[in-house]
Amino acid sequence: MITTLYAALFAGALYATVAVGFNIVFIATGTFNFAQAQYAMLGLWAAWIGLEVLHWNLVLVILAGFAVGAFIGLLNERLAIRFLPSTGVHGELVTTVGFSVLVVGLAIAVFGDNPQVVHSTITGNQAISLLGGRVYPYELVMVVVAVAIVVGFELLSRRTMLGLASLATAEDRVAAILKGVNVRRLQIGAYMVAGGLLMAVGPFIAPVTYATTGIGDALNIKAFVAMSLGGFGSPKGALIGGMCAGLVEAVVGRYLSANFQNLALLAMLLTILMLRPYGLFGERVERAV
Amino acid sequence: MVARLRALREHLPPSYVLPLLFGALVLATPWLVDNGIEVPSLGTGPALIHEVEVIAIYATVVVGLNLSYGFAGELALGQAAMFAAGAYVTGMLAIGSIYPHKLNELLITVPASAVAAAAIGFLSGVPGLRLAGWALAYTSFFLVLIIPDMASAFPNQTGTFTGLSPIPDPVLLGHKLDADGIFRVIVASAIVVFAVFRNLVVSRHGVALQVLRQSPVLASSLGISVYRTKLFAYVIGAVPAGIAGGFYCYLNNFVSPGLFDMYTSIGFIAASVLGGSRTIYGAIVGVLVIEELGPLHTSVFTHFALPIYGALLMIGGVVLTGGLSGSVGSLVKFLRRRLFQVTPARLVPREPTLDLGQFDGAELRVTGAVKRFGGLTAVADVSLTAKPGQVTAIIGPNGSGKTSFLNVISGFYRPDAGTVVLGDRDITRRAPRTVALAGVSRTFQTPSIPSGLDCLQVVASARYARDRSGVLAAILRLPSYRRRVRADEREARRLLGATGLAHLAGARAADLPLGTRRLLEVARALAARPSLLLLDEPASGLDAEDVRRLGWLIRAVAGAGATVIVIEHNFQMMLEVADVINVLRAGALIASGPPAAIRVDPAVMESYLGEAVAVEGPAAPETGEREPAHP
Repeated sequence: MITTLYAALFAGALYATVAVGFNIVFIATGTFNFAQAQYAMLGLWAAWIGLEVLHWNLVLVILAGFAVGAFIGLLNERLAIRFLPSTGVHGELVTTVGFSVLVVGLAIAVFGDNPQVVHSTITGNQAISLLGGRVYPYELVMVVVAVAIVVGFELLSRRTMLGLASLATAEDRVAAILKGVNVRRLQIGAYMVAGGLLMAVGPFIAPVTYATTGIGDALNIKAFVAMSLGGFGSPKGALIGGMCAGLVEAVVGRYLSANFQNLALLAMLLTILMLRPYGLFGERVERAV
Repeated sequence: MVARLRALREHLPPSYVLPLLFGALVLATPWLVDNGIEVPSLGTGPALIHEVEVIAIYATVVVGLNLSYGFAGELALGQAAMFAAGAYVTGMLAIGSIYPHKLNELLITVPASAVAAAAIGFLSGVPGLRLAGWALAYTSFFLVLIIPDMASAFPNQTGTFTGLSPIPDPVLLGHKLDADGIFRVIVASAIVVFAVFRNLVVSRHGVALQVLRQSPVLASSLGISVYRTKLFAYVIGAVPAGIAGGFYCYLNNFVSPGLFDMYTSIGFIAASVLGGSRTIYGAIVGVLVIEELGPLHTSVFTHFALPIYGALLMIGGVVLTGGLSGSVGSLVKFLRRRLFQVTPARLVPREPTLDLGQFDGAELRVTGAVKRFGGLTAVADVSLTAKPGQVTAIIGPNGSGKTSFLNVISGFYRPDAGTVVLGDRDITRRAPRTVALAGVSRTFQTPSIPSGLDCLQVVASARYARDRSGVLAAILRLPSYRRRVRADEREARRLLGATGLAHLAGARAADLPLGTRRLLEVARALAARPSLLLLDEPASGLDAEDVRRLGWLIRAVAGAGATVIVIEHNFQMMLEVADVINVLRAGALIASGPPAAIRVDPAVMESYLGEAVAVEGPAAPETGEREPAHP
């Protein structure tokens, strides 16, 4: 029972982190980046290369992951967002799906289909007993990292000029431009930070999931469940939504059947869309003419 | 020369003849193959027949996707799930794993597959379309993700990962089909699906979808339900995937979860984007390129299939908004416009006939309307009455709450307090669509004209929600449908004439100059036969001549019995046109009365015209001589 809870905590932390990545882009640009979860996939491979192949120091791996993620984020914005016709209906939908497919395709071409083991370098790789359940220490480290990211993001978005400018842009792009917000730079910055962040956390995730090219799609959809549950654009909503998704998944898997884990999450997503389409912490914006 | 070309156009066959001939040609493939015909890169003999079958099946899926993505504007990633549902339902029925008796009759299996796909579309679309956009993309994407789970959750029915095989050959009306028979059935059903979707898109329903894609706000102001229309397009768009899945099952001889994943859907979307999502026949082009002529055909490139799909979607999304066939289509349209159509000088309005017919005007009574946005009160306790047969003007400086007030009436804003009553019907806090259906029509500050429609279609689109016709009637072109289309056209032509736009009936509406588009919006609003007409700054950006015509038109509409409310900056015009002028300042009503009284009202002078004018006395002298007649 407690072991299940630990598994739920780790999964929840993972989904929440990816959801924060989605949120950074959503808040600053008002769009979803379908490719966002693939950065976490790339982060796993960055961790594998850094820790297992090159045997770099953890801090260096994190920094390098951030740098590469930021660069790919830049490409993401340039290729899939910048040149969209502004009048297109959900134009970014098809282009960011395209970017996501491109990233996965290249990752498979480079790394192949086989997962690679990544060991944790901060904690031991032995499971410990804690409060009557078995848990790997690095799972708990990931939970701490996720909470830190969510708190940091919440503070940044509410307390700094940059965060407020992002919120303003999401609310009304034209008004933000008129107030002197450099919307272009903000948009590029958001894509870079979101990409860098998700690649940087790779070393904390990889010991559990291994480095694998196939994880992105599942992460993508589960982070979206977390976001729709918590509310689009809400960091604390992302954490709570992520934990709920992790819990539902773990409990269904433990007590019902692994075949119904995804179905339960889908049911949860459909229910929340029916009852509270803007999520628990999201706000409904009145449509203007 | 031009006249001769125009005469030539009259003699061109209808647009469906060529596709039908193409379909007949494809149907004849086995005969052609027997006579030694080969198609470069598609192969020859049985291989060619198989390729044609695969292309027909995939193109059927893509044409459904085009309806929901291209025409209704909602991207779904779940086409592979509908396709899988179709394949599994047919497979399970044919093998007999779901029902004690084997049901291998094509007229049972394939329709059952279609129903299954529609049911899945409905179940995922009802919640997914609440938010639309990303929510639909993800709920449908999720469907694909659970295919393997579902397969292993029901091992006895689906055969888990090994799947179902072998699938027995299908039976049609009791006769077992041979290879040729299967080919004919697959191609014939693809032709039927294409014909159905072509007729659906080239119909009132297709126009409604284009309105929706342009702007949900516009659609609901015309009384079109945004949610229901999108759901309709999404569910109907799923049906071909189910049918195609059923045939795919027979063709493949087995079904397994490994056949359907996220990247199956991506392949369909790539084909849709490549062929042009807003086309029907483009689906064939897209599938042909993706399947055969593209780089994927060479096995060396299979490894790079995903990156190529990805790049294709990005390029397609940015550059080829209309797809390959769309680009060809717009080139054709451009040439046609050059040869047959209007020159810019003709794009301006002519003398209007003002033949509007009668309107059943209803009195609008707003009492104590309040609308707040956080700390800002945009509309502060406004009460006013607008009478049938009169022009009621609402003027005020920028930010005085005019448009907010209009939005409270038309349902786009929910007032925090107060009531809105039209005739004897309370429309307070009703949805925009309900308000529209209750008899309120409006225009927009920035004219909202769907691209790709001509003026006649734009005006007729306002009649869609008022005079409903069935989808089936439209697809089959039944007499009842044709009657409605003729009525639409008659009424639209009359209103185009009434507004001076009769000569522009066939012109692309979105390309017209601003003043012409404003008049077109008025004509569209009138086509709904409203009892209350709301005009949101109709004169802004118009030259003096256009303003004069607009003034006549507004008077004529009121004269025909409608209640007219005009929001305007152009004080001069309102002095000439309005019967009653209401003046807003900071959300509150500061004056109300006939133009003569408003012109000399000190509060109005001070707030609206500025004190300098007040010192100089009543506005420009010539206005006094052109008083509008008061009923």
